[in-house]
Amino acid sequence: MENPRIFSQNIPKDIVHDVLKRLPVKSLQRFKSVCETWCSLISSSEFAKARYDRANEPNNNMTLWRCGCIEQREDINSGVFSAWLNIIDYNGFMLEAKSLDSFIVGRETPEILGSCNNLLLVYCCFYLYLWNPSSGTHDMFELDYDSTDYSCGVLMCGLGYDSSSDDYKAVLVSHTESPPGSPNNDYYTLESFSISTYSFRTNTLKEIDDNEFPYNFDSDTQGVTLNGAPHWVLRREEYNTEVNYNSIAMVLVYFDPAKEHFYELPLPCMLDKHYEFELGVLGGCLSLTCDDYDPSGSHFETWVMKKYGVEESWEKLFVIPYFEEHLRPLCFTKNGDVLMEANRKKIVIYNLLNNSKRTVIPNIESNYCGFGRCVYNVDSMVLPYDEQRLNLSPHNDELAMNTESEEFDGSLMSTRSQQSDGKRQKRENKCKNKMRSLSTFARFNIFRRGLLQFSTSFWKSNKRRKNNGRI
Amino acid sequence: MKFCAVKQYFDDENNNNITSGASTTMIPLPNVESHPLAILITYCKKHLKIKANNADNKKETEKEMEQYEQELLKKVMPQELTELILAANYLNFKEALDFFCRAVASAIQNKSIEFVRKFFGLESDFELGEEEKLREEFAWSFEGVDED
Repeated sequence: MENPRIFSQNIPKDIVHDVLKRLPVKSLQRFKSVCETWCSLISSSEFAKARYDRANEPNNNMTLWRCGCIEQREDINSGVFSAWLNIIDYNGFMLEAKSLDSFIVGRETPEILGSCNNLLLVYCCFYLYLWNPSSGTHDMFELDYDSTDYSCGVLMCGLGYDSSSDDYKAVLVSHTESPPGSPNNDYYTLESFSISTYSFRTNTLKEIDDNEFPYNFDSDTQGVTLNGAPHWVLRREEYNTEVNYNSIAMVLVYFDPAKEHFYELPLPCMLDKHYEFELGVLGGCLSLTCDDYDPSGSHFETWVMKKYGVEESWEKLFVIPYFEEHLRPLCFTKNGDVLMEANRKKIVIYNLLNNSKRTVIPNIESNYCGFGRCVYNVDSMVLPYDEQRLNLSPHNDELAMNTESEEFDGSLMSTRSQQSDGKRQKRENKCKNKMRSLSTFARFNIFRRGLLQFSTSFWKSNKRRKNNGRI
Repeated sequence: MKFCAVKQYFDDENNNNITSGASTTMIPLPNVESHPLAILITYCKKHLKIKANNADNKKETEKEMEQYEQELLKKVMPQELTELILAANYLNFKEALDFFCRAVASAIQNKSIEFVRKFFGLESDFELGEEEKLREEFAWSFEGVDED
């Protein structure tokens, strides 16, 4: 626009407010420097509320979002552990805590391995659970393993939803490693890969013969689910014969639960020198957070892919000055603040307009071994179902109106969720026995972050692929 | 409800004067110039027409309205935006006000501080060094800004 006409001085203040509250965070941060009045306006809580009121239009589902965070508490007197899901809502405050003890067995701290719509994929002591925190219903799947083999493995999980078969599927990618001290060196050596999917609808495990998984990952690789597909940032290592070392490229990979195949998405080209990313979903878009350095110090940048799959649509959404070693944005609260996990230990809310922060949950690290694993967006919309049935319908405005036809036959689920004490006791004992039979080394490794103990004969019918790469 | 101020006038009129005929009443609008008023009337008529055409389909209405708004923006001079906002505000025409505020917001979104100051007729009234501090604190937000 050339030659802008100057607003006459009688422009009502609330019109200026109306214009400002439609602006994105980046513009608002910049416009704080326009004048003193604008600076105080933009930082004020009334303005934050006004932005929220505008954002909270009828078709915005913000009120339905929850953020869940596992905490393991120990009763000092009795030594009994109890596992809880602390739930934070879009207001940025803790709403409630839900107990996992009704279905979890074992002393390990449960970990959230994925979330999709209103369900969480939880791992604890050799079982994978699909859990609806709102209704409390759950399903489970036992991971089998051989106690004699003490090699350790790394597991990467994701939860997805296959709309073509109305089925929630967990994808499990594992690679085994031989421990340090082996002939090669001090590092763990990659031995083999295995990929399977577990369908919660048919309760069957299926191995995927997917030779096109030329990626590697670490034990703390965490994915997010978007559009029903789990996404991760993985490493692709290419052995360069000329220079005799592996060149590493980071790739954004997702698993299509219907086609049961992995696909790649473009990363922003500006971040091609980075190796550590935290994935998230912000405002319905895939987000990447990494740290960066500039003359004024280090900071975290968060990028979002505004148009799914389009490389050019990657946009830097906000920048946060360094205040913790590790930041993972989880979601936006109602007035545009960022809810995030800091240093894998606490949940904070960060106000982008005045760089202030508030701790919501101070310490989520379990005081026992294992990790009170992290935090996920949980859509806890409760549909008007019979509480006994596991709600497997995805959260979707259209589907919400057609709930009758979309209902899953939950009769099988309700049997499990109402299992008698006897059955649960059996499971508890089985778990204890498994733990006891582990070698000391193995038992130590089970408590290493993210590592699951299992053997090379893990999957029922397995196909091994040798991977010559080194970690 | 469009043109709420005008409606208010009619309501008042009816209360005072039972026999007045609506079609011959002249309504004084001292704070609105003729040009923006003409645009607002056209906008209003178009909105009602589109709504009538797509009575059941809300999405169609929104889509068509968006298309019309895009075209309108091309014809309207930037200077007129401010007059239109004032007019819509005076007439209490919510939808038009909403639209024009949106237009101004997207116009200034990626502009520099100097541009915005000029546009709104503002001056920097910061204490010494305060502006520098702010610029430094949010340095990244100055990246990629449109040139003036």
